[in-house]
Amino acid sequence: MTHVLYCLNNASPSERRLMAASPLRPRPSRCLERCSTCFERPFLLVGGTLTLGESHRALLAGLEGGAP
Amino acid sequence: MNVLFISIDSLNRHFLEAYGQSVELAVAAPNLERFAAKAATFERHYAGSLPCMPARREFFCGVQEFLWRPWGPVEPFDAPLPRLARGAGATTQLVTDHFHYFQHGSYGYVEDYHGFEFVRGHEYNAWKTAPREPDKTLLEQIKADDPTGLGFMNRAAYARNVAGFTQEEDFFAAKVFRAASSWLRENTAHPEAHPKWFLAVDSFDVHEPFHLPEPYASMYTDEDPTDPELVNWPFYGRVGEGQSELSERQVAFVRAQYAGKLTMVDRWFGELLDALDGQGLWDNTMVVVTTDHGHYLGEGDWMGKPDAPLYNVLAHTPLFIWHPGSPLMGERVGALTAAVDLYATMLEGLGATVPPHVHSRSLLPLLKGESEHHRDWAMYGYWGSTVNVTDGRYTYLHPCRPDVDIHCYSTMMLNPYGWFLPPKVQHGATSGRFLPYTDAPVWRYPAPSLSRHNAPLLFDVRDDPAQMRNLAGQGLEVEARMKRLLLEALGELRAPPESYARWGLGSMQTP
Repeated sequence: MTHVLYCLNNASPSERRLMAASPLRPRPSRCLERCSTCFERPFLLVGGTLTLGESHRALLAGLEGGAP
Repeated sequence: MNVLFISIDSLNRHFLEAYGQSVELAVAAPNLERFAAKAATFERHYAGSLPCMPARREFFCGVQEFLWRPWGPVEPFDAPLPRLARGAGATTQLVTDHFHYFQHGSYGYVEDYHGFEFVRGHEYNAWKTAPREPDKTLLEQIKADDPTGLGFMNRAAYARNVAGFTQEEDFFAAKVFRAASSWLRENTAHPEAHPKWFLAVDSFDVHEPFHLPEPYASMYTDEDPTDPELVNWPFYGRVGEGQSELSERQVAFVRAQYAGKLTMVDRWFGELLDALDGQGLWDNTMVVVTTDHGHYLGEGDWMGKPDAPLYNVLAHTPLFIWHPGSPLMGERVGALTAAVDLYATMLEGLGATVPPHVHSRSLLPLLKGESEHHRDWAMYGYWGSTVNVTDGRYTYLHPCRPDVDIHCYSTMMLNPYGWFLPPKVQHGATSGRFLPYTDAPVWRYPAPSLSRHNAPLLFDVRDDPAQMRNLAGQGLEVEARMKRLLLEALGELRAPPESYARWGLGSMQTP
């Protein structure tokens, strides 16, 4: 399974619930040392690669192969 | 009595000869050994609140904060050590390159000193803005992937900060320990001017980035230290996956650079010892040498200070204390001790009164030979996560429920997980007199929990110091006993009542 991480500081409570329900099982992290991005916009680390998106919902949908 | 406090950040106990040096490298640290031979070496000393600033609130305010609050400022109800030292007639000084004192999320730690010297430029320190495009090889080695970015906490800041460094004396340990040595020489030459003093030397080294001048960069490796494939600022996480993934060769290089940095720090630490010798200060000065936490360097497949279980690599820390009136100098102390205890120890050494509300217990009775036992438990952890306890023989790591929020208690609206970022307005906050150790009103607001492991972990660290054999879940009596010890510790500190449910201990909470 793809290794997906998100930063607790970068996701709202509803986005965290979205992550918990995703079949990709993204793992939360206290800090991913991506503070520049974290402060400004939603992101995931996918297999170690910084992946940016308009929202966590859109990011997950892209990874799961569906529409946001 | 004077007090000299020295923290060498991220100093791994298992890299030191005084603690058996159980690593593959013969790391030279002759000055730390010279001091260990002279001082008391504490065998069972544990960190408390992690990481950097929470540890400093323990050292300098005596508060074991991780049960209530993450990384944050000195609170208005705290009694900072330098403030009380002033009241006891001591001149106080801080020398540091620890830039976290000056970032978002931290304040109040330096303002009570009569003087402080801040050596600029370590790690992410917001210092230099030029050259805009620094050394490309270094950028690769420190994994700075956005050199021209203008966001917070860009790794390229480090490459800019060190762009003019040409010799060892330009690096941080040299500057910090030289400045501290100079302060001693300038301020102790005329005792009538400063009859008593407290000097805190807070070295960010051995902390990453593990970027070194020669001869240290090549001291423990045959690799070319400028090979851009070799990383000297690895990301935190698992060595085997994601952005923190490293090859065996890269891990070996990181360990060699850490070792080299330790040897470099040791050289400059030796200058401070020389200053103590030269000024004839040993007879009236207590000297404390310790760290805030360790640093994973591939142990258990982990790197840095990640969201991993709090194994002893991070939690079991070195402590050496020189006390001129102690019969234990040159001896080893087997009693269990904790980072928070240094606050009361240093205050009593300075002749100041220890406030009654703190969590700190002075080590002076141990050091004076008046007792051999100090505490039954030491508790440690990160706020928002697991809770861990040791009796000195066993370590018990207790998980938390990630689906149950934690509360943050502070007079500040902090950014609970974005420590270095601007604070967040906490719209869900309520206020009240929630803390058991002060009647000051504080905010209380929720934040997510973070689990580091799903089930308890139990280790016999006498027989299994590397914590390879988990004894939990086997129905052993020792697990029940360590769980009771954890509850005793939580009860003694009067941990937030709602936390017990988050740890799955709700039915066991002491009324």
